[in-house]
Amino acid sequence: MRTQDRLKYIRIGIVSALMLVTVFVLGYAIRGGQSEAVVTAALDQQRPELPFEAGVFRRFDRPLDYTTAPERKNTKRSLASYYARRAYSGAPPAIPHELLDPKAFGGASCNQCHLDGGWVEQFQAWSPVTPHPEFANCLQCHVPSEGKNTFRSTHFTGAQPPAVKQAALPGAPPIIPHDLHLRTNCVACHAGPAAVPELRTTHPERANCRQCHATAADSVTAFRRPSPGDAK
Amino acid sequence: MNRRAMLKALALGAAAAAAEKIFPGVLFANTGAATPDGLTWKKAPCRFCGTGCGVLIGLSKGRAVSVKGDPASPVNKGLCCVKGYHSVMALYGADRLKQAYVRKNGAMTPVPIQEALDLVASKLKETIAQHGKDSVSIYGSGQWTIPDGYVASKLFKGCIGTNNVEANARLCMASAVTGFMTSFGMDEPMGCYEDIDHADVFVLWGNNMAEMHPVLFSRMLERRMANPQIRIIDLATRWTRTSMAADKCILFRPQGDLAIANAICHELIRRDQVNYAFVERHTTFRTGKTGIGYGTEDKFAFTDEPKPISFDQFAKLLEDYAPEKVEKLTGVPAHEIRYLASLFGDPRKKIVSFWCMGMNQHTRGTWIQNNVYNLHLLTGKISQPGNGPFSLTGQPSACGTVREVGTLTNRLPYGEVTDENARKKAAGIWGVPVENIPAKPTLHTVEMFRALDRGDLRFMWIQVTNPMVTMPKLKRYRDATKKEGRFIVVSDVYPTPTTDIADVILPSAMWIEREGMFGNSERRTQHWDKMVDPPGEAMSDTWQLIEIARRLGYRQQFPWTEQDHIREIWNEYRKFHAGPKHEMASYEMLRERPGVQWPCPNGVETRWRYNPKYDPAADRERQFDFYGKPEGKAWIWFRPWEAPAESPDAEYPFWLNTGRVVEHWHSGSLTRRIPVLHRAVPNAYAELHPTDAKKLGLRTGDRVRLVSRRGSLVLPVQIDGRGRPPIGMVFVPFFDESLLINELTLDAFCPISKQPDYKKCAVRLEKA
Repeated sequence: MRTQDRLKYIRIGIVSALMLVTVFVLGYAIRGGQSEAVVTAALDQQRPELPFEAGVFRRFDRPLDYTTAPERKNTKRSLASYYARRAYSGAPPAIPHELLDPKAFGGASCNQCHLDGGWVEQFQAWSPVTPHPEFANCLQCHVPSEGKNTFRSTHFTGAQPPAVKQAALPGAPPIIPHDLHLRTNCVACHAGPAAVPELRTTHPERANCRQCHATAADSVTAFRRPSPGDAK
Repeated sequence: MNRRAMLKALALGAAAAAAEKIFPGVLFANTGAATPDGLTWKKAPCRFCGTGCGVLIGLSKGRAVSVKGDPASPVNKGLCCVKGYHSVMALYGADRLKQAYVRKNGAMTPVPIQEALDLVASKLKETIAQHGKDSVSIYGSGQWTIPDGYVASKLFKGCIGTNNVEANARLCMASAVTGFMTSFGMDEPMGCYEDIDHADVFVLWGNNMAEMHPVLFSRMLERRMANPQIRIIDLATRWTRTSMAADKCILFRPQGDLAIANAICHELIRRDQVNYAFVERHTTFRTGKTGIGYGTEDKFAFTDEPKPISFDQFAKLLEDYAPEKVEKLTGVPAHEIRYLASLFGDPRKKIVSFWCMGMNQHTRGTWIQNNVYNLHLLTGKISQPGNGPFSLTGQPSACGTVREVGTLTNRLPYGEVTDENARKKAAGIWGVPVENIPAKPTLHTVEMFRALDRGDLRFMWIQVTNPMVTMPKLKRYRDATKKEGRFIVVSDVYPTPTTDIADVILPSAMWIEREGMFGNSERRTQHWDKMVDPPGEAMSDTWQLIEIARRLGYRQQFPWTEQDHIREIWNEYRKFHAGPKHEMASYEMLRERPGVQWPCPNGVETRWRYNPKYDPAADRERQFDFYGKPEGKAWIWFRPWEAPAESPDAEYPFWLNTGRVVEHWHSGSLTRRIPVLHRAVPNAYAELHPTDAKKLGLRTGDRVRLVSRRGSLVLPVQIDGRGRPPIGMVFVPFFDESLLINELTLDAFCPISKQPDYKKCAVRLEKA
């Protein structure tokens, strides 16, 4: 048999094999998809969907390129003003400006500025970016709040913010000291011209933040195993 | 074990534990362990609305310092609203009540709490001896925990022997109850929040969900974002944030909802889009009395007379509700009514109706519930995932405490007081003679305050509610409390207009300062532990009632210790609901989970009632079994349109509509003490249509005087703020104790539910 013919048969063989594999894979995928749907429904019944990883890379789908964003010199935000907007560390921040459209429920109205950020002439400031644009009813959690008036004074003291740049070793990548619920999209707050300087990453171009930065898990107690001879 | 079985096991059993390993940094469930942030996290249901979000409370050094949504709660899946996120701040207002006060020579004087309790007990005894047992009453709340309501009912109905037990849920949920009872013979929704994840169409009946049930509204928006064919229809009397987010907003004249629902029925029959198989097997038709009045006069009484009718008679009665006729009555174009009918009539579309105060606070509240149920029954779109009418509750335990424990004059923890078997059951479980429990209902809320005015009622104990802000036609009832020979006890956490009229103030331990349970809109019972100490001498409402019961000589009925009383009360209360139609979860199960839905026979929750696929109490031989009614058939009522109690006229040309805002809870006594919420909405205001404002020469910030037949009030004007009423309507939120809009409202109520209508009365406007 000539080499060319042999190659031809090999090609036909490969193509047929591929077709067979495709049929199997497709069939499996369809069946798999069906069982997946059932299982997802079962999951939903008992436990919510847990998209805590969902936002990790999201910001990089957006057009704003953080690596080339202009460096902001006259910053208005600081760590102090950042926490002043929150009743306790982790509380939804209040809205420090008048609403563009008070009749709006949030959504497109807020997201004009807060989806991608950018310079807002009216406030002479860079707009902070929301880490969870998928929640459209913004005013459910964020309310305009100005001044220091109270109806009656309060003795509440909120949870204190964690220290910035906690690292296990000198020079080690800092851990993530806060809860990730609604905050999986790291660069929304840690990069870009509106980010608080103290919280900014030096390397926004590295997309996979959690490759190096581990979470300080809330509910994990120290690892310990009994040594030989330890009392039970 | 194959992959599917393994995933299922993961889902059903160990999801939380597994999830914690997969997603470190996110706290699951109620571990209660101190964490690297120095906080201990414990689960609770949110203190505010009837959604019943699961929250995790961050605790440090004996104080609550942080809140986050509980990702393990199927209600909110980790999300909260602005009230929930800031809820713990409500514990720490500087003017928290820490000790008891007694009125001495007109002035409130601090006394040790035991002395105040002695006085309350002796005053109770004295009043009963002088004026009879029906001269004393207790007025509680849908914010009562389940144990609070249970001991109140046991003490007043079982031991003292009066049915003078009411709760502010009469102002909030009573029409929902009578709606369910008249249509299905059993209270509370058949579906659950998961309906949101399956429905194709949402119809909101007078329900500003974006502000009032924001967490559920967000779940709906999320569904629509992922499935753009989903439709949200806002049927409303005022343009709100909900209208803004909806696909369509249909504005109708107040009271028009009755006619719109009938017009949709009319269209469904005309188009032959009735699900006849369902209607034939699972429903039967009734009509009741008409021209039923408004209850504005004292001692108003009403009893309906249901009469069976045929489907043809029903269809004939609907002839007055052709879309063109209804257009004239309601202002809703006929084509919009046909559009709604097309949504209900399309057998491929799953549809959920949501409502809350718009349909409940309504002088025909029971009727409008019946009419909306009719739509779901005629089309068979009920009791299945994504199909069903869903009555939302306003308060965290309106269902759990008021409706399930039955802290209403006509109810017992199981059944009506008029039912001998229900009385026997209660007497047996309570360990009291059956003769103790009177067979007749006495005073519903409005009538209770009227009786106080007349002098038929002499003693009232008010817990967890602020009627001196929330009663309609407020002046009459405030004056009533101040009359000679009336004794008012108020248990609360802050000074309010209601503590202002009290003779004794008892400081209460609130929410996470004591152990308790709430029950939310979707039949979910939620337990929480005591997490922080109450301030000063503050004591839980449950324990206050137990202290009084013992002083009255009922130690035998109230034998529990401070350590075990909540568990013991729960175990006793559970006996009332034993059986597959209402079984409650065990105490142990409640402690473990972020809420459990009843009926929960054999530890399995029922998510869709009346459907044997999901509900073990339903007859397996039938597709649906509405077992609250004879033969398992739901009742389709013909209920006509009737005019509201008071409509605008030449002298009072504007509708007055009242309600809430997302930031404030009810009378504002908690939320106004949370700085971030107070700053967002510091005071009440009058919302006007720009055309009306222009006519009156008013601009935002100007002052306008609202005058009704009951009173007048000057308010700052707001134009095109978060809402826009139609021309001829003014909207005012009711949370502000210094701008009391209820001075103007009318105490007309639904003759069947006795729930007042806060959405419709007539006012005139003057530039002030």
